[in-house]
Amino acid sequence: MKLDVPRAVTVHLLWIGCVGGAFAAAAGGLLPAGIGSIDPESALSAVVHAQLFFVLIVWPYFIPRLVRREGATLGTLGESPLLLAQVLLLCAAGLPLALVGENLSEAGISALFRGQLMVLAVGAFVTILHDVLGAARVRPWYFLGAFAVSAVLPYAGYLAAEFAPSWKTGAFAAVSPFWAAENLARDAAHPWAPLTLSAIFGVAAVALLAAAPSMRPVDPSSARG
Amino acid sequence: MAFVLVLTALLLQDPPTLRSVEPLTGPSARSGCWYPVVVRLHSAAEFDGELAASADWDYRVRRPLKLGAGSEVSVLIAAIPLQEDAKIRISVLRGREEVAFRELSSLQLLGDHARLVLVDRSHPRAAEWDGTSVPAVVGPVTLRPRVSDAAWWDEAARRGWLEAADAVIGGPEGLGIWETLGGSRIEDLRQEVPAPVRWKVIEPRSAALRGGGRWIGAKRDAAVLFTAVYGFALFTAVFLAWTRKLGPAALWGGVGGVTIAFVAAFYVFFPRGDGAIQAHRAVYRSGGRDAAVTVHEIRRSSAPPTEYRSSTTPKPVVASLPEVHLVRMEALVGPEQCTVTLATPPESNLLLTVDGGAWTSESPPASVPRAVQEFFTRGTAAWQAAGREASGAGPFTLGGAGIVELRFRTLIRYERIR
Repeated sequence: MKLDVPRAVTVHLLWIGCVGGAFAAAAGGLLPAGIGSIDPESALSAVVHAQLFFVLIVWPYFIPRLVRREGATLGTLGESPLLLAQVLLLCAAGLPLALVGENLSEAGISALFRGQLMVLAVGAFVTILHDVLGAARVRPWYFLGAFAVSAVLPYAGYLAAEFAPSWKTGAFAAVSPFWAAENLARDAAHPWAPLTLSAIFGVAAVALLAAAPSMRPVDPSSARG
Repeated sequence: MAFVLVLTALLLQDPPTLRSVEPLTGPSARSGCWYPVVVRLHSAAEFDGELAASADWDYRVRRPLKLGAGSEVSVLIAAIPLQEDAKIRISVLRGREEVAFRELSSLQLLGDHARLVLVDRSHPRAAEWDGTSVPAVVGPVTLRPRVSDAAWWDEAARRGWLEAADAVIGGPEGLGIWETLGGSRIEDLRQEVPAPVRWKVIEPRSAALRGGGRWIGAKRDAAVLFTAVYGFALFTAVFLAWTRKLGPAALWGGVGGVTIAFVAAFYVFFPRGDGAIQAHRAVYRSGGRDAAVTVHEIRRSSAPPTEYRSSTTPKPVVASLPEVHLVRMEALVGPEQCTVTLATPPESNLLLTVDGGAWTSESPPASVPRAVQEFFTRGTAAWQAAGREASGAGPFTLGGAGIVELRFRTLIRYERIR
């Protein structure tokens, strides 16, 4: 089992474009008419948002294509360790930008740590979910779920808060990692959100990994995307 | 014995009493200009605290106050009234607790066509002139003479607190910056009195000195440049691994190495400051002396209170009355310098100081090579030694009568201010 270097190169190039490009455009106000530009205090959240977008939306397309089997027999953990190492490397590669974001927003090192932990937990969950359940089988439902959790539920919560304040739908937004990334700062309204979400995704990832031998498709090669 | 101990304890806790509170300009004041007050205090016991002055907005000036047992001292302090019904509150503070206070009310705010003339108390006609209104010999203005204790004029002028006055009769020679900025010394009320350079707290023209947004230019540019250089370095590492057909270990090693190098580069090279002070300075020369009117634009990237040190007592400058009520600020006036605590919103704050300092430039910290700093802050004015014309920031005509024109030049200093 080896890393497919051309595909890994593609992952890294996409990472540079997605995270680095988005952060540079947002922090520098490079887009016309101030589109997407941020205040300095949102800089760390912007980096974490870009990282989350990458691990939630872009990264699943590379699972498990990133790994070349070369006839090797899979262990009980499947391809997950190699993929998790790649996620870890991508998170590490985000560190210089996260440091710049933290410096600009003055959110503190603990906020930086919570943000990166959340990216790592979400990335690990996405990786293990696709690897264990089979990428091709799970991907359509995964994107539907990711879209619902990241966008539909927070938007529904927002609409409900606007038009029916008595419904108390604030918790709808709390399921979104992007919403949690807005609460990284010390004085944020919900500072517990990033760590809570990290714990939920982390526990879910570990549970999936533990259950991997019984949940993995019978013929993994049939589930390759 | 117990009675003596209780009495001693009571005496030790007894706060100083405010014997008198005497404004240098009488009841005459100018909206948005300093209103200096001489406070005479007596203390039965030793006292270590502060004397504070404030007016009808959230700017308090404090001075350290140390009194020996049974001593009596006089202290000059000032506040800035804004509106006609302003009350000047003089407080004695022990820690943050106000232990005594006195309020001055019924201020008479002077318009632009009134010239405030301070008359030395010892002048033979002082009592006759005090409180009168005399038409000036030139122009549609009136002279408003007020008797004042000239012994305090020098200190008031040195601290920039004499700005409400247009002229003095009698008193000590050489009132420094105040005279350089156009304050007149006259013999009687038949002489012409031009208005000196004066910048009030509410000054619509100050909007031209205020940059938009909350970004500190140097930090923004450094962040974008750092991201671009980092992205390029990563691209190079990845591209080399691909074109040279290196293995996964080389790819990961290259990415990891670039990451570690740029984490180190961040700690070494990235600007650490969280605030920028941009000084718009106009130097006014008169009688062979220089006086500088400086508007410091303090930009912060976050909201916590900022401490800022200045050689003179700064005055906030805002463009409109509603903005005044956003200002939350205190100035602790020490013997050598003034420490200002700003808790106003982090959008740029303008503070005005008037001093005799020359046009100087700041150097960057020596720990990082200059060329490297400039590489990461290229395109910004930070650390540049030379002043440049501030775009849209001058010339300004101060003083109301159009007698002085100041062209501001801009210097940006970039530093940690919190």
